[in-house]
Amino acid sequence: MVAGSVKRIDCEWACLVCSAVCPKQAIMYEDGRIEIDLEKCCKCLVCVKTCPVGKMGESELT
Amino acid sequence: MKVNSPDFDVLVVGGGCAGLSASISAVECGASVLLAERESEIGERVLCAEGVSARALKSHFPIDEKWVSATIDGACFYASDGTSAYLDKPGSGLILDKASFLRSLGRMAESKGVRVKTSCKVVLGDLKRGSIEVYLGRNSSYRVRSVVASDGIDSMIARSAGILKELKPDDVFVCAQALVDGIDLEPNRVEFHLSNSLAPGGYAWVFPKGEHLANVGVGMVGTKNSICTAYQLLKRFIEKRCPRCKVLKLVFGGVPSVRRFWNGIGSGIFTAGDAARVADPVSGAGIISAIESGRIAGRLAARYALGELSLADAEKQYRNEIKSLDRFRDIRFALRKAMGRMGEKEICKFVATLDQFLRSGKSLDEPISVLKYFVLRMPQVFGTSAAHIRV
Repeated sequence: MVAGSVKRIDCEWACLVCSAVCPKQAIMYEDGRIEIDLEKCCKCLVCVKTCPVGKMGESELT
Repeated sequence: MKVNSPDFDVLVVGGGCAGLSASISAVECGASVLLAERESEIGERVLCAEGVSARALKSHFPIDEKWVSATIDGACFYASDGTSAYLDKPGSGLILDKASFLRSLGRMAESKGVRVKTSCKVVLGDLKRGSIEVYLGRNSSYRVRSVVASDGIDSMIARSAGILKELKPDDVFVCAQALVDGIDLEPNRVEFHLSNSLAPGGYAWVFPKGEHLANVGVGMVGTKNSICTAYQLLKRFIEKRCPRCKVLKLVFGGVPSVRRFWNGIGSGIFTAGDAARVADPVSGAGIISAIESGRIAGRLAARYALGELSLADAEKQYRNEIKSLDRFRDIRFALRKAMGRMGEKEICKFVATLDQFLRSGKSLDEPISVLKYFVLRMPQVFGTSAAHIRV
């Protein structure tokens, strides 16, 4: 789901690895959803590569 | 410096082990303390394997039986070729019911005068020295003199204050864990399974939580997760270890494994727990270091807020005390790097060597002798680690 330049992904796990490894502080966790600020995102894919569940896909960041 | 009277001396963000310990220490120093927890209840979300040293925990809090799911008398290490090593240490460990433990600490904090607010997201406002503006939820803003950022691995407080960097994938263990029912196990022994196919650069674990009940998990170095996710590895491990068990609950998380403690301080903000990256870099154990770093951060945040220490002195003391939490950290980190480079055959040899080490009566609590032992017996793996450490 896209709203403006923020992409939201439903994620019940709140492990926050994606947010902790993001070099641009582009990821927030809010009410069961990961919110990616696509304007800050540098497409390094480090969040995709480290997500323990495999929730984050490359396509989510484009 | 004279500033308008703040609403609280210390704001503690995050009601985990670090935050609750910080709030207790701060209130014991005489500060007025507000603790803000994101979830609707303290202990509601627990991302933890729940294993802890009994002696270390006892040195901080009198242990309540209600917190204890299992008492641990030893550990067993397994390699993929069937090699194993046993560590016998009766009564040395506990597997906690961490939610119950945290709720007890929450009640303890409240009884000492800590004001606890749940379902509460905190955003930092103006970072004026001695009077930090914070927003709690949508409508309320407060002024506090100092803040303890104990809001976990991605600490939004520390990051928005500019005192925390992101974790590199190589500096984080990516973990997946299931609480399972119906597993056959020795109820007083933890299991560590070392294998690159089960948990590359880390290990898989079974921590008993009662009869036929256990935390079963895998933790691997973050750079390997893109090949096979922690969740896929967990399913593989469960299929191998306890295929007929029932999964009651799943949790995912990351454990920082860094060489140096991050100097997470600035503008009256003190980090603790995962936000301060204090977990053991080899084992990932983080409960005791969270409590200890919380105690340090809480005490110094309070003493600075009460005007007993200047900010510079509080920060200096914080750095020194956090550093002294683990004086063998360089060695532990070198060990973990070397272990992460091992191939499958070397892992098997490592477990066999560990078996000899434990049989000779030596203790894993002395990292220098552990490293010396392994450098001599597996120089191709551990030799380079020894090179940059003055042993």
